[in-house]
Amino acid sequence: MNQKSQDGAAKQDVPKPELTPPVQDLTTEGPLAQSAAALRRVSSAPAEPLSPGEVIALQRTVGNQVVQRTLAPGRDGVQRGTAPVTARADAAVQRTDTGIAKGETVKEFAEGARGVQSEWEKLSASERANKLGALANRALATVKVPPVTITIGELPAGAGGSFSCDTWTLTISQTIISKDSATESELAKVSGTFYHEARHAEQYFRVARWMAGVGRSVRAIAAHLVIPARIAQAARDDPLEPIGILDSLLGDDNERAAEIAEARRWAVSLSPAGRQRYSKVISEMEAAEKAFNEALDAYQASQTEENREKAQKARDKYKEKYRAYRRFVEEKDAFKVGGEAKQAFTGAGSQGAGSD
Amino acid sequence: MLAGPPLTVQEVASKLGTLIEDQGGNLPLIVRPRDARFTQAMVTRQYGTQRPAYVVLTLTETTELRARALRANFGEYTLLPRRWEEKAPRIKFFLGEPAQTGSTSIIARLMPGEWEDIDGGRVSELTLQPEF
Repeated sequence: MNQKSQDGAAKQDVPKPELTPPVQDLTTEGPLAQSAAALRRVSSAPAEPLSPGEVIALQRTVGNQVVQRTLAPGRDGVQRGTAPVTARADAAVQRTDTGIAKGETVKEFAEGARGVQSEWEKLSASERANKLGALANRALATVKVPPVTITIGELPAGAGGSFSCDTWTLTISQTIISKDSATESELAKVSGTFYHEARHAEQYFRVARWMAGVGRSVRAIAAHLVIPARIAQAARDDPLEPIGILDSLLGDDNERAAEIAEARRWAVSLSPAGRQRYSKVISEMEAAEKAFNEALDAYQASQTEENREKAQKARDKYKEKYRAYRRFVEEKDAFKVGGEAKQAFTGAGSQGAGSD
Repeated sequence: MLAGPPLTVQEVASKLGTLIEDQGGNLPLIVRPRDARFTQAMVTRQYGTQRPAYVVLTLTETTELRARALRANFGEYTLLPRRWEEKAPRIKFFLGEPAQTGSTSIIARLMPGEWEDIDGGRVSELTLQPEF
């Protein structure tokens, strides 16, 4: 697409807000002023980068869809030099903790998990699982995410839990939950993993709400995200509406702006195409792990220089694939939130010890 | 059964076979099915209720059921995205319109590693889930 048609598309896509006199006063300062300036720049000079603040202001006034269309590459795939800006804006929005990543929710979960730890030896495996499941669902309830079904199951070594979007289930590791005693670091890890998995449930539900907010049907949401239709219906009942001009004027919508920005990023990764990429990375990671284990066995059997180099290369490849897995936006976010829960668990313990 | 009039998890369990274990609270019930083609049934609870969320039936090693046989009965399936902890392919069938009351889905878990020939893949586990 040439420069002229790009300009044309931008002008056509960006509606000009009609400002009544009292509102017009606000255009000299505050979010509208920033937004108006950003709109002018998008319309007049598409190649000129927008600041993160301007992108957020646009999202808060004209709505995310419009901003997305405006900042997206042209139909011919030509970038308008805005991708780094979008990334910076997303990073700016991400600084606001959303959903169960909020400090008080993490803290409440961690303190609850500490309570489970304190009575671990008195509880049966089922009681422990019920208590941890209740903590996860309590956290999810703070952001109106439908409760997950709780099961105990066999998971790969070292995994504390897993989330299954298709049955809306959080599974707790049989191995861990059945331990007669568990060390502090083991339970900190389990708490972190469990919270990580609960965050995945929130991610799916947030994307479902965002899809509902842009008018997608229950059927479309359920099929797109591979979630039960009842969960898609719950999202339709509580849609995440795009931010319009009135919302922006009537209240502080930083949190919703951050929620929408995250939902948009997750939506790409949780889409069928995104899941295909994920599946590919998982398969490659698994193959790399197998190759690494084989190379390690070969080296242990015969400690030659050649076998050592092969094992090192296989390890590097496995690490590369693992890093690729952790780079998926939803994983990066869940690892961050899970890490905070783990840290809070340790903190809750040290606070308790200090007060004794 | 799951898509019909509301049943409790206990009622579903007793229709399937003999209760082996009720894990209690919000956790599932484990059942030994009357149908000898299955080794176990797990009746999960919708959180905070006594309503079933879904039932997982584990096939015996000698039960021969292929994905294509399910396709012949239930129509086309969707290959579900892989989960990090999952080594086996899973496919999903819809029974009825997904967004309508009474619709149900069947998720078939195939034997681990059978990614090359999904249609010919052998089923190891069936999950029956009311969608709505």
